[in-house]
Amino acid sequence: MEKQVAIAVKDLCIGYQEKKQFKDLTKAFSFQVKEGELVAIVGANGIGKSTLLKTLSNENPYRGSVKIFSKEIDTITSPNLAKYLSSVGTNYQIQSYTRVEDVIAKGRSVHTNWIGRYGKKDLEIIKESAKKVGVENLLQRFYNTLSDGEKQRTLIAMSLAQQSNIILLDEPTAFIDYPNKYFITALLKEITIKENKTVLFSSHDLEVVLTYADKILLFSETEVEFLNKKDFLEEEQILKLFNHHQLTKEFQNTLVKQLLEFYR
Amino acid sequence: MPNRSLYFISLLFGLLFVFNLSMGESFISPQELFQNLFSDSKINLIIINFRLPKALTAILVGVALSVSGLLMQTLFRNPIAGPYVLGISSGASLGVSIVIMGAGLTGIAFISNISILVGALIGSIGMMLLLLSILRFVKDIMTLLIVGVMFGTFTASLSAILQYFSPSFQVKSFVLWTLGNLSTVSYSQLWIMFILIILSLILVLYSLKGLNILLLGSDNLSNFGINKRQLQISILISTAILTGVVTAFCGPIGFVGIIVPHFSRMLIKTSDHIKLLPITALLGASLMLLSDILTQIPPNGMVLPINSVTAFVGIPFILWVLLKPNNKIGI
Repeated sequence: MEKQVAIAVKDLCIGYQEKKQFKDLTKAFSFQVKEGELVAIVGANGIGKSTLLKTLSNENPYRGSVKIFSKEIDTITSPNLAKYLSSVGTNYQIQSYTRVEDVIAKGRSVHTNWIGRYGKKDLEIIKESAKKVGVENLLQRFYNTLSDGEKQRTLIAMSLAQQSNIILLDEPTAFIDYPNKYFITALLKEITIKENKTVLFSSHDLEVVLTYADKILLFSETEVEFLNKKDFLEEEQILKLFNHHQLTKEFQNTLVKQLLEFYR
Repeated sequence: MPNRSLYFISLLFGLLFVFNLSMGESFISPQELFQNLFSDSKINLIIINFRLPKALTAILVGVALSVSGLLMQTLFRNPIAGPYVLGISSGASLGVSIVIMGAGLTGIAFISNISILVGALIGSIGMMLLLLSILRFVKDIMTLLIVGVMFGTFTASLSAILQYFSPSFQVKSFVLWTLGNLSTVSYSQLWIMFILIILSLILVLYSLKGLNILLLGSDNLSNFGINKRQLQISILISTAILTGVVTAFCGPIGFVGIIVPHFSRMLIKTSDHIKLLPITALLGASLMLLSDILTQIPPNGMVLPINSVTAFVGIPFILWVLLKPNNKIGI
């Protein structure tokens, strides 16, 4: 079956609103993500990765066009958008008496009635989602007592429970040990293959990005590029990730060479 | 567990309700209560005219204040938020003091229940709007609390100025009002309270879903299909009405709104508002019935002001919340 285009971005400038004026963070860029693709967003801190994720979930002003299943996002109401797209942020400060199952259940809220009561089907989906990420034994635990890896898996289960076609994740592998980094990214890959979902995640962990991602969205000082793995593994591209004024050019070049040798 | 807790609290509530009717200047045993329920006896008159409206008022006050406390603790993500601490009650008090004493100063001698109600509602909604607008600039919860306390002091000094220039009988009626009183509410006022509280509770039901999402942090609302602005406004209106209507008729009653939501969370160990709401409402009603019973401790028909009793119960609890390290009470 022909894969549909899930996200179509055309001449997009991300940025922020300041005194009724839109300030650009990036030059205009375009890309298309199909169903079942795992896309990693890489680039320096503060360069706009999170802003892009917020823009895609219509939480941020933008210039240009962002279409989700060929509908412009700012014309979709938020309950409708939530059925197509779920997003997992960082910095959740969850109340003490919140159990893992309650957190996952939040993903169901867009499907529940006006009062938000969970039906039998919702409870089944919550259990199923927990099982997929391997937290089914932790459902009754309080969220705040979990380890960082378990917390991240719970949040992924929450967005799985939302049953959206697209899942956005902001740095799901931050603060997480190696086994969990690989487990979580492999899980995202599995979701794209088995359930034909589109997953975009930002990350600073090149090893998992290069192991699992289908496409890479590279944020650099000058532009935003949408690359496949082969094009990304070129010296000039990787160099952009190491561009920093406190590192000498020589040192940057050595680093990149070492890295490329390692990954090729 | 929530179900068993619900039965337990319902039982407690029933017992306190009957006991509350028994207590008063003369003790009427529950047995006598039931025997005289449908007769024209003197006991029946006492119950119908004095004790029943007071008990019903206590129930409504408890429900309204504790539910509004629950909403505010979630909205402001703050374990010691409540209508009293954040100055919502002070806002209502200022409205009422302007109505009671301002009326005297301007020569308009006419003070109706409705004008007190309107004054209280304008005051509480105004304060809530002020807090929400401050919440846009400061994310820090402590700042918000300080603002609440400052506003409380500010309204107190405004009231003091009004008192200074007012004739003594009006000052007395205002001071009596600030002490809190459950026994002056008439049946017609009870109806007004009941209808307004029910209306805002319906609004609360509509906000339940959003309230649960708010527990994740307010930035994430739209990802779950919740309209942030709509949710904030409906919480604003319902808390302001719940607090305003109680303050108008019974005075600024403190601490019930803070402690009851904590009791409910500790009891059923969940943060799910669908489960918390009925428990909080029932516990709030029970606590007010109990406080009202405690006001009658002094002998010879003397009665303590209800506000002192709730403060005696509430302040140690709040200190415990603030001072106990690593307690699981946090929101």
